Amino acid sequence: MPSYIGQSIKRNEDPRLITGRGVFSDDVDVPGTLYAAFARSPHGHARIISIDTSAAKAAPGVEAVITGHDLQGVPPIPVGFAPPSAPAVPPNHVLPTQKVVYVGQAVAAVIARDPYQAQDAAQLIEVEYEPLAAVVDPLMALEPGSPQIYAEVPGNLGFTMSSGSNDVEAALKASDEVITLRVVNNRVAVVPLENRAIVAQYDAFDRGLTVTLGTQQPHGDRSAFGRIVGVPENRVRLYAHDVGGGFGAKGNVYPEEAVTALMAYRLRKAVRWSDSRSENLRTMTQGRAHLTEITLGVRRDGTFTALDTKVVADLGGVLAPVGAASVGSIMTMCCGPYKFPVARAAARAVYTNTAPTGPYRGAGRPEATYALERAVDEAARRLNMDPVELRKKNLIEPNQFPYTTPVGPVYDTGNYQAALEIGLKEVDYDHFRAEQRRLRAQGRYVGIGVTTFVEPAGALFWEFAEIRVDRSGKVTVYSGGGPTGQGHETILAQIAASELQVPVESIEVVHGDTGAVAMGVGSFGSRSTILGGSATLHAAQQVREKMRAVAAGMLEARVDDIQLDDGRFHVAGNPARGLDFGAIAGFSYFGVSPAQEPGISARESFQMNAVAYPFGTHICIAEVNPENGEITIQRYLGVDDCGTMINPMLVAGQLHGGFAQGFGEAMMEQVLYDSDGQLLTGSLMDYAVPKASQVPAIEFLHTVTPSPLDPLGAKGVGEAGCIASPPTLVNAVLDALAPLGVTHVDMPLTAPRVWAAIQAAKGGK
Amino acid sequence: MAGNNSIAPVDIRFTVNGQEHQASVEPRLLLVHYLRENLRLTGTHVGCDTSQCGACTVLLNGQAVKSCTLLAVQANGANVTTIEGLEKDGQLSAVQEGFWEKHGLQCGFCTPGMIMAAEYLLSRNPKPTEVEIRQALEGNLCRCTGYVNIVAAVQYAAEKMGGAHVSR
Repeated sequence: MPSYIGQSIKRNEDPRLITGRGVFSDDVDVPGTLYAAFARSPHGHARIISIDTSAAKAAPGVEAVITGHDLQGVPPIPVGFAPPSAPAVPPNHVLPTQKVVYVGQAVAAVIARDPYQAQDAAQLIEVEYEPLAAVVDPLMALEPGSPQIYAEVPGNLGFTMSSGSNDVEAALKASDEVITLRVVNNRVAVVPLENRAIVAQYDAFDRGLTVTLGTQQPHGDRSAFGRIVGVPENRVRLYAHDVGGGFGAKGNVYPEEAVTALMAYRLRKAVRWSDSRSENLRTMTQGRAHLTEITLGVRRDGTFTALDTKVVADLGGVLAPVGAASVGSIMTMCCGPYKFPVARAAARAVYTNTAPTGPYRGAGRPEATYALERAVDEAARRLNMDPVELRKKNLIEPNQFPYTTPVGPVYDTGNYQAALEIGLKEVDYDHFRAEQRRLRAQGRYVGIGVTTFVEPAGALFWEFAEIRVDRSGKVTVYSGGGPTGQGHETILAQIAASELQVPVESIEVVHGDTGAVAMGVGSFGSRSTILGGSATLHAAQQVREKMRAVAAGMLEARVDDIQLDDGRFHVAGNPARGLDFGAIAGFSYFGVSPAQEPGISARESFQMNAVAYPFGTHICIAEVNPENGEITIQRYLGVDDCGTMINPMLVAGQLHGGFAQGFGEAMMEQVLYDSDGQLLTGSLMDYAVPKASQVPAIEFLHTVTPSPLDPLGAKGVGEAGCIASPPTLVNAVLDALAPLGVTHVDMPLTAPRVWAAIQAAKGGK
Repeated sequence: MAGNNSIAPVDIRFTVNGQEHQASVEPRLLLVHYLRENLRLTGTHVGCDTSQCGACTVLLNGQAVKSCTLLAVQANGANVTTIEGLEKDGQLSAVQEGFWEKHGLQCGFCTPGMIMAAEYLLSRNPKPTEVEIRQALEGNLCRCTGYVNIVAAVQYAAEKMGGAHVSR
């Protein structure tokens, strides 16, 4: 039977999703459900003077109204990681009683019998505020005299991080050219198409709590709900059925979810909540929001001598549970795929009166790549050197792996040159440059952006898989992952089916059920195929060996003589003397001796002792209309290397979607607040998510450099598409505008911004 | 979903996926909430509150509409088709099949609305170009696929339904 590894098979999860039978959290119907709605802060920064809930309590259908005063003893939302440099971590209260720190922060909740009634009553909650001066710009927040959001965090400086060595300073001094650039990684909204949704239910049978939630981390969230609600963790069961996108923002428990669970438990009822998109845009963690000053030293011949990256990261009003993740990732990934003799990075993470920020697809890698690739193109301009030649000169060589960068990481394997060359050949780079000269002579502004990049994947913790063979011989994979659309039910089935030689569609994959899956970490950081897939592979191998042993006993043959073909274990050289899965599994439950373990199952977790580093090249050809600043993407090509591909069709899907998010960030998306902390992009009328008519056609090619770190050789692909696309798009536009003297424009590259940059450059001449 | 007692309910009658329904509803009840909560047709999703995302798209008398922007009372007398009504005798529609074949979905949340919008497009224009497909789907947002395979899925369906294959 041929292996399913490498096959672009159709997804197992699709039949339910294309017929309307998917089960998203808000689709779960529990009889007698109550509905939650929230009163939210209209201020970016204000003291809470009083909260009057009497009118709300008297409103039709209302079962309960609660404020922070009703939550004495309830712990704040747990913070997953706070750097040691933090002077204090101000608590992220489930409902605050003293002050609000961003617009939309929930201050009180209504629980009612009908969702419309709940919203009506929430409007009747009277909160008296004393507005305080707000600060929304992270640089201003660091200035002396700025409003102080927390007394225990002087200067609003939440924490600092650093990496590398101060030898950078001497190396920069000795460089022929020093390029310093200040770039903005604009704040973006995550916008999974499914907002947040939760159904929490008191479970009378085991005196516990059952929660159905759209999350990327089912087991982690179970622990958090247990702690917040005060239910022993062994009585909390969490389901994550279909999850409508997460992209990093569904990896932690939100205050509204905590309130919903608390009230279900207190009222001994089921309570449902889902946020509207306008609530979601105010309160779901947002991404990027980094200001970077990057300094690159280079010799006249183009050799890089040093890199210094300084980041100011906007944390928003509270430290989200994994709000520090993106900053940490820049500390380790600032050097990209290039050889730097010395480098360092430093970050200051700052509280502002805006929505909390958290990891967003890529989580620090896109931010680091954007700054670095912009600086490399700027260096090429300064040296009057071709930007591709400059990259080639500095890329880590294929024979240098494993390669240790000056800021710590050890890159496992790579052939950055191969990916670059394939891309250059595909677009015929030299011909393009000739064509560009011809078009420029005609007054047309066409440019090319070429990015080479590397990213870490599968970096943190382990993932878990268990495989059980039931009495009928059917195989079930229990996965600790938390898929949000990636296709785990297909990928893990492909891996297990290949190892056990059974049809892929016969395998059931269970995930998102803490009662069924013993443990798990979740899905983030491009980890699920590498770690969850490898755990599945190892569990399948164990199951195969256990079945072999049982089959040997049944067939009265030596274990070494039993082989597996097409789902049958048989004596080597005698295919007729064999048994199928059902026969062996059935026997294993009730036929084995007391000394043998009954049944067939295996549990595995997989963790790498290092990190895998996918990489690639992106190339964009763009034309700019200098009259109005409009950009036309003429061609976009990516060459991606994510190691072994289990399902190339799904790999392509990840790259397409990642690209579109990078495209959105580069071209149109931006969360904006006014100086009082009022959100100006509070609905999808004002916040621009790319549409089908706006995203250009794209192409992806592949090289395959397996990772030696995991048995599949996979490297992870979930985030690759959004990492290289922003600098590729921006560098293409800047290359197009080079004849006009435009060297800088900040994302998003809306037509008015590009036009303004052109006018500024013209005025400067 | 119960109504607010202060507003008199309105009687409505309409057909959903070939089945007639009669109900007495609060005037402010949105069609999408009636479909999801009263009829438990939860394949129609709600992704925004300003008619941008299109996850709630259904066919009303054959036309694609956003059911979050219609009151249930406005559907009085109408013929509504939701994603649950596309499969006929266990057979997927060509558009549904196209989404499966071409990996036109990832998380699947936008998918029902996207499929309904594509059904409407192909009912008007059996041979759409890629540009026409992208324009027809402007009212439907997807955050996962970059639209690449959604376009391919609609092209697959057009071809299967007899329209000649389309060029860019």
